[in-house]
Amino acid sequence: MNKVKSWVNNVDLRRFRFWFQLGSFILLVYGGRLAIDLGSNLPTFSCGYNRDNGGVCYLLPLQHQLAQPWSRLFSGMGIAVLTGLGTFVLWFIVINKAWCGYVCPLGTIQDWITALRKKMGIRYSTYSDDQFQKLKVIKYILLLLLIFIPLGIGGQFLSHDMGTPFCKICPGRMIVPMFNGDFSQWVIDFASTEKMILTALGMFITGLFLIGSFIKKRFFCFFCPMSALHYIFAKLSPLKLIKDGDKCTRCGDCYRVCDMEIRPIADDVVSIDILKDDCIMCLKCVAACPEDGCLKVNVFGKTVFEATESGFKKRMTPPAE
Amino acid sequence: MRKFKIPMLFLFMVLVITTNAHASTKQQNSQPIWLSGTPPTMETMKKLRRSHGGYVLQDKEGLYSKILWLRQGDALKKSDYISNAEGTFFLIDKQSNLQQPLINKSNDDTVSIQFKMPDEGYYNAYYMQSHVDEGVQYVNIAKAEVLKHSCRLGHDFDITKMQPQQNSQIPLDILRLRFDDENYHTRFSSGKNVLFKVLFSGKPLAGAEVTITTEEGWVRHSQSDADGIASFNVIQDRFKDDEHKKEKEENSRHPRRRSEQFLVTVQYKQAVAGNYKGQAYTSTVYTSTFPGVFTTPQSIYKSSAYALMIGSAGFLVLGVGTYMYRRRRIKPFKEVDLDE
Repeated sequence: MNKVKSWVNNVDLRRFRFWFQLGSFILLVYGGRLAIDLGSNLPTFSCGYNRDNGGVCYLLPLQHQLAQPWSRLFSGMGIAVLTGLGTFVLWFIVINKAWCGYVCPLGTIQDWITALRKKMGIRYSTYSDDQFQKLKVIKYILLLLLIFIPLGIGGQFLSHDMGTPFCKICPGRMIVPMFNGDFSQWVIDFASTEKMILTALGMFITGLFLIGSFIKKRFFCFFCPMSALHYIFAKLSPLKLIKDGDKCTRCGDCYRVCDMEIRPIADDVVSIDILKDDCIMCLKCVAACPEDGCLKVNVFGKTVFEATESGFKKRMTPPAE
Repeated sequence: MRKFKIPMLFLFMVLVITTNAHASTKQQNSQPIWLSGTPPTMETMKKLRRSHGGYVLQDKEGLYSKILWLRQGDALKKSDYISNAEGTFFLIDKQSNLQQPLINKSNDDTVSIQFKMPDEGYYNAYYMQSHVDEGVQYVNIAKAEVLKHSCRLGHDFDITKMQPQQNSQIPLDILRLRFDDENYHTRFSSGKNVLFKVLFSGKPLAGAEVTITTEEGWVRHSQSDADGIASFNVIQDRFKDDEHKKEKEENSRHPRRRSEQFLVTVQYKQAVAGNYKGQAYTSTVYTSTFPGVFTTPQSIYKSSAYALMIGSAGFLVLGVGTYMYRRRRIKPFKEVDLDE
């Protein structure tokens, strides 16, 4: 048992994550070709506009459902909305925010772009603490908009052409189908003013996404409303990121490897459940921590992966030439 | 003289009325009967919701029901809603079973049928009416192929469920053949080539004259080939300027993307004598109709060039912005010499 534990704790997380992400990417982007359908309530950006998807991102049906006329939404249809939300939560709690760090196709694409930048020897950018605090609010604003705009459509205050507003501006709609050779979403829709504005915004954000994720690790994840929605239910998950503040020396290794620049992972020595709203649960912090048992991943209170000195040394030692 | 004038006038009036009635019957025979999914009044429309297969009625459990109205005339927008249906309605459901739909005779002098659509796929509704006039039997068949699809139920797009259903009980039937890689979201737009198969007693009918008429009045004729297939390349008969005018007239929200109705009609004459409800006839004229909807092609209102321009703008703004920012940060220190 101890051997297995030691093997897990000494794992080459970078390699494990690369293969896991690749497998998830194939499953969600090409799964349809293999007759795989994981439903339409997935807590990750498995884009519904991608014709060969292996399942659909929950934000698409959520926006569709909320745009129903109020008379229907607040009667029988409401049960369908709650059922969808329930399915989403059930999927989500299985691996908590690791959906972002290990499964999300858009997140994986950003990691690949980062790998390309690294290969080219170009340095990455970071935000100042002040910028970070301001930017992290955007995802909550987007979450509120993607709920209230469809509700406004259902209440007949807004045009139907504003339907699925977040999908229209999400770069995933343009980027993910591209991997199946489908560029049909790379268009500005002039059918109405609302569609024109939203699709133009979507294309502009796609341009920002491509260059942004080249110079900033996980550029889009700071603004992702799915991440905000995840955080609402994060406490329900049995999978937890735990910190033992007594063992922390505040060396800052965990902060330096964090793609999302989450400062409290190093600074906070009080909280036990250290999962923050921006966290993508990539577990790079656990792998980079040199203190035995300081950072760990628990499932139903049982530790499945933890920081160890030996694991740290193994991972940080450059491969022999 | 005066005594003579009155019977003459009476005779003339009888003659005029009889001639008009005769002309009216002739006109009735020539005007196609069809099934329409467009509600006759705004009040009715408000009760319905849009779906992938047109307007539907949705109950509290979310089950769709389709309502189809019987109309007559090939001027599609102005065709009359028929108030008196002497023929029979029937429905072929997803399991190819023949069913009797619910027939509504409403206060607004219209006849409609209503049926539930529990399963995904296409439903075929028919109306068949026969009468004999001057020794010719006229058989009018109105067909509507109705799609039931809800995105909530997923998108497995089972190709077997999508194929048109064939039923040998329909004397003259029209099938719309599917496009390559068609799914429930596929829109038939002008510019596309659409194929219809004509079947007589379940077998392909060669040489039948098939006519397509659009809402704007564009008419095209085609003859079915040996496999009973007639093809049409539907033109775009609505343009931006017209749409702007219409937008003002109809307060439309979609000036550039509109759907337009079309009606396919096929007529076939069979020289076989018979008897219908005690009236002898020497030949039968079958007329079958099949309505549908086509839209403006996406290339008219969607632009990839603008998309690339705007996407590139985003790319450049952030790319150049970051490059300039970094350049400024690494600029070597320069001492400022003050001229004292």
